[in-house]
Amino acid sequence: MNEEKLICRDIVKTYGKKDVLDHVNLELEKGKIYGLIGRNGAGKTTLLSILSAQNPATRGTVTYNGMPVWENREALDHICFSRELNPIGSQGQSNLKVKEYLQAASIVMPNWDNELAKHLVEKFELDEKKKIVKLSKGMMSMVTIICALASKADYTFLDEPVAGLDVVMREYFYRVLLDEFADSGRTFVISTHIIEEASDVFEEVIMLDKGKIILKENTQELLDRSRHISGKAEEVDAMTAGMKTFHVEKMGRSKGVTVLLEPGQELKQTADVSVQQMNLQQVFVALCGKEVE
Amino acid sequence: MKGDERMNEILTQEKSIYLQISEMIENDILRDIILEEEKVPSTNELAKLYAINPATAAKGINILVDSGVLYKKRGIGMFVATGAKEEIKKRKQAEFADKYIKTLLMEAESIGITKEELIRMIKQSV
Amino acid sequence: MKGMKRSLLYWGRLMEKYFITICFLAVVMCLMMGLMQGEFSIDITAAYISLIGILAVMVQAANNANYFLPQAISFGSTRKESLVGMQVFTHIVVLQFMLITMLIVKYLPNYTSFETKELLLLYSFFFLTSCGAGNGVCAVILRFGKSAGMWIYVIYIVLIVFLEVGSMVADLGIGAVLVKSSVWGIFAAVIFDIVMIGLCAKAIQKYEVRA
Repeated sequence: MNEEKLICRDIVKTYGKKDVLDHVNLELEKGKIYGLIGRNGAGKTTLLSILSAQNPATRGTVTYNGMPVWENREALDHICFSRELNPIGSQGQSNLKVKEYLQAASIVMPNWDNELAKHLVEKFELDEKKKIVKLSKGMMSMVTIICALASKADYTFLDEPVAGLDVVMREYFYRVLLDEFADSGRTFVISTHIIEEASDVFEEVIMLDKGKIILKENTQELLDRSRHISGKAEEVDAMTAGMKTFHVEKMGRSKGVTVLLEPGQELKQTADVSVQQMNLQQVFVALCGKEVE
Repeated sequence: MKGDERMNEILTQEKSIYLQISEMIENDILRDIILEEEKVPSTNELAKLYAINPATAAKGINILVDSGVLYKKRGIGMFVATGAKEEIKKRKQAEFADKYIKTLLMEAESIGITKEELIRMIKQSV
Repeated sequence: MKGMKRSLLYWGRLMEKYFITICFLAVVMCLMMGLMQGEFSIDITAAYISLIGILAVMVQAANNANYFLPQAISFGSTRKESLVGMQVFTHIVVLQFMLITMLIVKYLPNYTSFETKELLLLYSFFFLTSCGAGNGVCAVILRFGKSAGMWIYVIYIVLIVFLEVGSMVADLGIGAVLVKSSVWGIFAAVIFDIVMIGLCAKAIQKYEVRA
């Protein structure tokens, strides 16, 4: 039963000699907000491009509701990938004004909601008559966001949507996103660098590291089982014996590690060892960050 | 939603969001900010208020449903069960030792305060 | 297929808007030319219009490759729909330019050394080749990037300007040669166009939107 799932199997994407995506398997469901987090160059944009059939995979398949998405109008009607616009114009802005760009989007996208688009343009205080190439990074992000939300696609992808937005606008974006999610139940996949503020919004988090998915889990469950253990090195080692430890930090006699508990495992704080819960950003850095020297 | 004066706490980073949600609701019940048989905010309302995913808010609410603090009226929403306040008090009393006393004892031990000194300190402060 | 209809609307809108802008520019230019000369005649007017038209087709091809195709795909258009939309309207616009040029040739005084019929053939030839060349530019840009496309672009423009100016305005005798073989020329131009459409289609299929 495929139930309108977006599934990718064994996706490999090679540019030149490099495998940018390495046997990626992913199953996305209706009605969830996913966070796609990873370092620069991890392959997030590439993955989203392939999921939305904007670019072909070197190997592997992507299906929506059981049918392949590549060049498939029916499947693509349900998917929208609103890419990061950039000033060099490689996305096709040319000399279009915001108004014209959104109009072009409204023609091509089957479920475009013009009321929503207009409403958001107002709320974001965008000058519709301005040429896209002349917009600031933040305003370009707003255009991307408007496109994504107004597309009303069942699977909507946003790549770094808050790049360039100040903190007030970022908070506003999360609210707008959640409102739209509450109203429509659409699936959103949001890739972002700004992990901590977005983590409350993600029901599930997908971590991409060097072209591989290292984790896909319910955010709350992941955080529930992540622990930062620190204290005297021997005590820490004793407590974490047999467990996989991440991101080992050493300073003098003390040591800090991150562990992910298996179901049923428990670690209690003692006098010598601190056991702390972590936030999503800390877990991400522990799993994907550079090793501490 | 009644009483916007409650729910003024912000979410912290130290504890799972959904646990914070359920604790906040329990605290409000203890403080008589929500009374028994009154409706609590819906999952969507909570999600909107705290800018969190509705699934997370639902998880917090479900903890309280599972523990009997809240019950569901079909088509209307979640309500505080009768006797919930007492239940919460009893549970928190049972947890008190684990939550607060143990930490107190650990801290005291690590800085060298003896049991007698500790008891004296408590007697003085009460 | 609804997607195809939407694609046609998208490309149609973009390209007709462009066409109108170019016409406007062309009219202004020709008016200025005509006023300076004191009269309007085919040799200058038609030549200018056709040059502008051909240039416009080339520029549009570059625009398509650089902007409008990536944009269409990023909005969710399939490559097939984009190819059809783009080709249909590129050709419609070329026909529109051709029509205008023909009307000018038919109704304005002819001071060139050619007959009206011959001029019609010549201009048809130029416009048809520009169609194919445009597609060629498009394909090259899609496969090899903007700078590579510019080369083809420049080469073709230089060629056309040389041929046109040489045959009509400066009377270098090239025109006579072209007229004699014009029927074959037009046939060749059509084949050229078809081949270029094929190359363009292949380039689109392989094209990857880059962030």
